[in-house]
Amino acid sequence: MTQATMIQQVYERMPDAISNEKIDDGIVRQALNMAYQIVYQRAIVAMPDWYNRNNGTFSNASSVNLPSDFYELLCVEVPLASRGAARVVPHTDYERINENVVSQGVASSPTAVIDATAITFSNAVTGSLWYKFKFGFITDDTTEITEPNSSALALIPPAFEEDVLIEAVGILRNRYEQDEQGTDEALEGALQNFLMATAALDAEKTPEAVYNRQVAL
Amino acid sequence: MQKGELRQRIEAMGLLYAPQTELPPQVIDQYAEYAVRRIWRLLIRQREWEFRVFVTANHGDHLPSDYVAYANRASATGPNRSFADIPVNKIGTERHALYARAIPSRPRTYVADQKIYFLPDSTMTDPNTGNPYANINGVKWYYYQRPPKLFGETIDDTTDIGLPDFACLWAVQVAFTYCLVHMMSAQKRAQYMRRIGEESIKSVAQFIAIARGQQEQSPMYQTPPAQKGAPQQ
Repeated sequence: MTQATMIQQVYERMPDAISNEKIDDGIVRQALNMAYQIVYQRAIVAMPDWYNRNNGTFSNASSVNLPSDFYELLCVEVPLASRGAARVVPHTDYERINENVVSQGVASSPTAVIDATAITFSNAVTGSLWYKFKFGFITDDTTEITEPNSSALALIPPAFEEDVLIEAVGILRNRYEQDEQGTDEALEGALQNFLMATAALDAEKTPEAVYNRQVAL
Repeated sequence: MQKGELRQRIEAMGLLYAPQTELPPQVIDQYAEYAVRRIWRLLIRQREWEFRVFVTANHGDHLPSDYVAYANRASATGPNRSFADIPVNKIGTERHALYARAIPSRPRTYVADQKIYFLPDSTMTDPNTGNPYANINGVKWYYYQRPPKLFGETIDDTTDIGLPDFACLWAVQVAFTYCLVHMMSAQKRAQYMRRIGEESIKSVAQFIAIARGQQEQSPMYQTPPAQKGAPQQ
């Protein structure tokens, strides 16, 4: 489904709440984008292959700029390295490793470290970058969302299509029902929902939630 | 069961248990589809052979349009060889590291850019001849198929929902439960739907884990039952 179809389906799924398309288009788009990001967080854990990407090769480079859709590094492939890839070193240990003659990066075993905008190597290397991709706010309605094709990567795996739509419809329904209530109640409801969302976000980031995820892969 | 029949059964449940309410058919339809997906993911854990199909893939082919997950099995004929599934983190090693790399008699498969790839490929050199390897084509690549889409005007009411008969009434029940949740107040519904969504995602993750060979039902992963009293002779 493209973004246009997703928007259309959201309208279809709540015929009792949305009446005027011209007013609501932007709000629907906003809700859908919220849903994409919520589901993306889960999909990237659950579906290990879906977001794999390779952005081509670089030659004799001492550093490579991160692609704009970079989310997570999988591998720096270096054909001439003895193990076929650069060692990805934690940034806290980078200097310690590279100033040590025993462990420092050499041409046959280069090291790499990720910084905010680039990956830096200990030696100039030729290779290619494998990573998981992310995406931002989708404004273009022709963007492919759930079905990959020859010209586009799908942003959400097909298994999650219904979950995205249900999530977006849920977000919108809360909004419309608050509109129908009185102002105070509506604000209270909005506050409740906002606090719930914040609490859910906090819960996601606790060490327990990060390290004890109930996803076995 | 057909899509239209499923909706009528849910409406009949409404007449039985919540006669005052009348939901728009689109709302019923979306929860029906959601429920079918939920049950499909439970069934696929127990009866995965019903949903496992294969495609004859060439190096660099796009994932099939109905792809959900790789079934951890791929083979080429003559002689029959199976392809090991590797994570992309290992691509450098599997391609270039001496003694670790893929060779035609022990090939690999991986997914990147939402395409199917195999190793060895034409970027690698055969050490015996010094020539590049040919890309591997015509591989039987097994995967799980997504169930049919059900929501929307373009999908006819006669479309089969894709569940075995014994699970259809279950789909009616689950869909009707979602419809009841839908009719609650905004806050309660938000709470319930959040829980339902979490369960749904968890079931995907469990399904993928099983698809990748971690058999949940296997005795290997089960703890033996606790013995009561003295061990039996």
